[in-house]
Amino acid sequence: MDQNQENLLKEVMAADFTVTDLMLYLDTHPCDQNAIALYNYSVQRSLMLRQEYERLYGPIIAQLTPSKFPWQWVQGEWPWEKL
Amino acid sequence: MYPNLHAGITGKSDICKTMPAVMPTPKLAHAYVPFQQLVCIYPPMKGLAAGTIFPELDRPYGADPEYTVDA
Amino acid sequence: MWVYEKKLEYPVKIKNPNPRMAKYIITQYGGPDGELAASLRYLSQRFSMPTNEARAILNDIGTEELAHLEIIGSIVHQLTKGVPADILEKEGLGAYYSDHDHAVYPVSASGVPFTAAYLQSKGDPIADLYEDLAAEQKARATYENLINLADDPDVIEPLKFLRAREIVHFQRFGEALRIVEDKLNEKKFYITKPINKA
Repeated sequence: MDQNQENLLKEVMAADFTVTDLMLYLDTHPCDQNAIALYNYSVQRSLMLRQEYERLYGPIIAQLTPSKFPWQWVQGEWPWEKL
Repeated sequence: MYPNLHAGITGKSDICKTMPAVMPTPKLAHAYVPFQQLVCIYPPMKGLAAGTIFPELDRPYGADPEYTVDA
Repeated sequence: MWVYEKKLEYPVKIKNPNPRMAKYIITQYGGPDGELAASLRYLSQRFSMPTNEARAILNDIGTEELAHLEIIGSIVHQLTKGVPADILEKEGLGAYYSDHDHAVYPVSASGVPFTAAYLQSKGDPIADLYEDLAAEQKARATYENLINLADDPDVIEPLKFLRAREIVHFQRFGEALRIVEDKLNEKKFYITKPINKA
């Protein structure tokens, strides 16, 4: 994986992690309006970064992404291999 | 810091009529964890590195020397 | 249901193999306080929770634990990848290698295979949530032990991340317990335990 791909993937990881931690907070604080606003902002940011990553390097979630030819999902490194 | 983006669709808000107390009067044979109250969050990269986006839950290992050195 | 994302929750990029550490870290894969036990525990308990908040938190933390399972598997894989059999044996993985070669298999640090005996799904929401609080503390303590044993920053960073998650999960389960107790108090739960649960 080249450095540009690694850096962008880390941005996606960080954006998604913000969403995850906010999601858990909201599960026990469903009435926190500020948190919901923060969450919605974080989700939009995550979607934007994911689109950018997927445009360049292929799908992150197979079932949500159309594929080029040949089948993109099987190509590239898998996450547990050394980056 | 962040724009105020409220979702356009509002769900059922009956669940929000009674907000839980920060700390009720303790009863015997019960244990209580206080509710966290959101103040602000770390930026994404800092949050990922810390393992949480909430500064009040950021308890790094090694910060308290008495607690972290194994005997 | 579950969907897979082709990325880890936290990056794992280990430059130097270390079979000795792999033998210890694998305990968070298949051991008593590991991520497999955690995910099965929470994903099983969610069915009998009485409030939406508790169902949601068990569902979502259980899902996150599967992501942590993947991180631990990746760490173990990278720590042993390419290491020849004689070195594995010298570092204490001879028995594991005999049965599993370089594979990742759910065992504890002492080689005990994973068992559902490591978790409980009691059906009593209070008992279940206390079990979850204890599980998060045990996991946190285990990560601290592993951090004490490790000296490679590539290994320590993901372990520190996973330890921090346990603290946050503990807080969430504590809040879920408060919500469930409030709700059950409305029905005088401890006076008459219902025989038919909705």
